[in-house]
Amino acid sequence: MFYALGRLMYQIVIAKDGRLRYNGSMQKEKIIQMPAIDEGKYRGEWLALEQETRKVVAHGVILKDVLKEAEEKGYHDPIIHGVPSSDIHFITIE
Amino acid sequence: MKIEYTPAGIGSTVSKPYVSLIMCSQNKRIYVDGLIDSGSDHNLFSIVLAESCGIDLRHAARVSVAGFNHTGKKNKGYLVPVKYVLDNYEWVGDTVFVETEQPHGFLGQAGFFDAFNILFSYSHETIELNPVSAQKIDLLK
Repeated sequence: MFYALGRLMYQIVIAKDGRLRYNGSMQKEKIIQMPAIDEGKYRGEWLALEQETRKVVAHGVILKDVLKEAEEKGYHDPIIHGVPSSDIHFITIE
Repeated sequence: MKIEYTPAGIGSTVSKPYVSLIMCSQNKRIYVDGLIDSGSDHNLFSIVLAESCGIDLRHAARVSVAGFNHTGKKNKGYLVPVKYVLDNYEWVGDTVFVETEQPHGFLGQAGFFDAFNILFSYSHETIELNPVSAQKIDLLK
């Protein structure tokens, strides 16, 4: 029998001595979602992404300026995402 | 832990294996995206991220970095151990900070592949990470 409690999943088992025991080491599978980023719009730029939604809150070529703009908008710990200026590292078809 | 591929690209609709992690120095931590790249020898980030995170490069090993830009020119880099946190795991990974203001962030063989066993599924568009040297953080501490 399984019970989910927050991020953990517990399994209740009947032990040999007849007592109920639980196995709390089983962890519910977690999938971290990564919403789309339109990198084509931001070639060669640093993006500051909102942590929960990964929405672009500031962008530009100088990282310090991007982080300052994000801070001014109230985003103190954005995710920093770099977009290469060209797709040379990746093989893509335009 | 499973992470979805990120639909992102320049002129491309092919999703890519980005991971959001925390890069730590003694006094600061920043959230950064890195592209899981089996072709990178080490984790590699632009030097501006080291500055932003407050990572001291004065005692770092000097290295030359080739292959990440299209000029064919080698760039100077600084190799240092860096502490990372991803979900509820932490590890110290060898990381090269390359002298460029251009945005770069790659998670390579030394620094990421040595911390996790990684299973890519293009059809499911997921990356499955199972810790090897990465240590589970005791959240109750």
